[in-house]
Amino acid sequence: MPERPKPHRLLADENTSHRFVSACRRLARDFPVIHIARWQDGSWLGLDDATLLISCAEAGLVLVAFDRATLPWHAGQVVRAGESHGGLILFRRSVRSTAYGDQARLVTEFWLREGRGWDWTNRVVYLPKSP
Amino acid sequence: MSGTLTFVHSVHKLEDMSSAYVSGRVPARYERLVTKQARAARTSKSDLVARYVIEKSLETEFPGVSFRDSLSGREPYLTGHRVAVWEVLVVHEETKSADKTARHFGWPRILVKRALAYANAFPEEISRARAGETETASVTG
Repeated sequence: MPERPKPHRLLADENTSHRFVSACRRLARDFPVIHIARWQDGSWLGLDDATLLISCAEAGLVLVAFDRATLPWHAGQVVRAGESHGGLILFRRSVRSTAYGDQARLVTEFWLREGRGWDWTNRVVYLPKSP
Repeated sequence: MSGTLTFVHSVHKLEDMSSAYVSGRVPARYERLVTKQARAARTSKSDLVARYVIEKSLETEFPGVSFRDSLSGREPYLTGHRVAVWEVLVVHEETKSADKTARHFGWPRILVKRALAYANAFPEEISRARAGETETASVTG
């Protein structure tokens, strides 16, 4: 019997808040998101962008972060270097850092409607999505 | 992958400020190390030494702040964390409170204070780093 692929989980980067993670769980119980400070006892907090992206691919994690130019640039560099990243969900600059409810709504709706069924390897999605 | 940014970065642009000469002797092995690193960074040894002097003196002056490569140049960030000083400032502008900013990140308040102290000391540099990260069109793979 073929092995079923492991479902993806979301890893909230450190420029998002624990409150965003809590808000996701309020909207959808057992929503598969964890904050990077809680993941592996916080040992990933010191990773640089490229190392984190590659580590996420190995662990089946999609990274959720605020859009910084450097992060998607590193994602491109990872792919060009022949490695893979586990996928990126980036909040557009219109989403405020402290709008935890808005962030949670955007991510949970997108994930439950379509994102959870995708192959996330080397994929980058911006939320809110373009109309 | 961490060494992929090979262009020359500068945080404190020397042309924008009066400069002074600093010299010192080091064991030969460190001279060779700096020469190798300058070649890898495609910059001159003197520019790299200047950057090391500036950044190390700032790290001593502002404990908890380190420097890393970003698309727009070297940027200050919180040591051991993935958050840039300008990102702390963005949250602080929204919360208007060091305590609330600390709660946002799940950090002790002192980390926020240190980031804000650096931002207050170098507002133009922080503003440049922020503009570089938020106004540059995203490049995706």
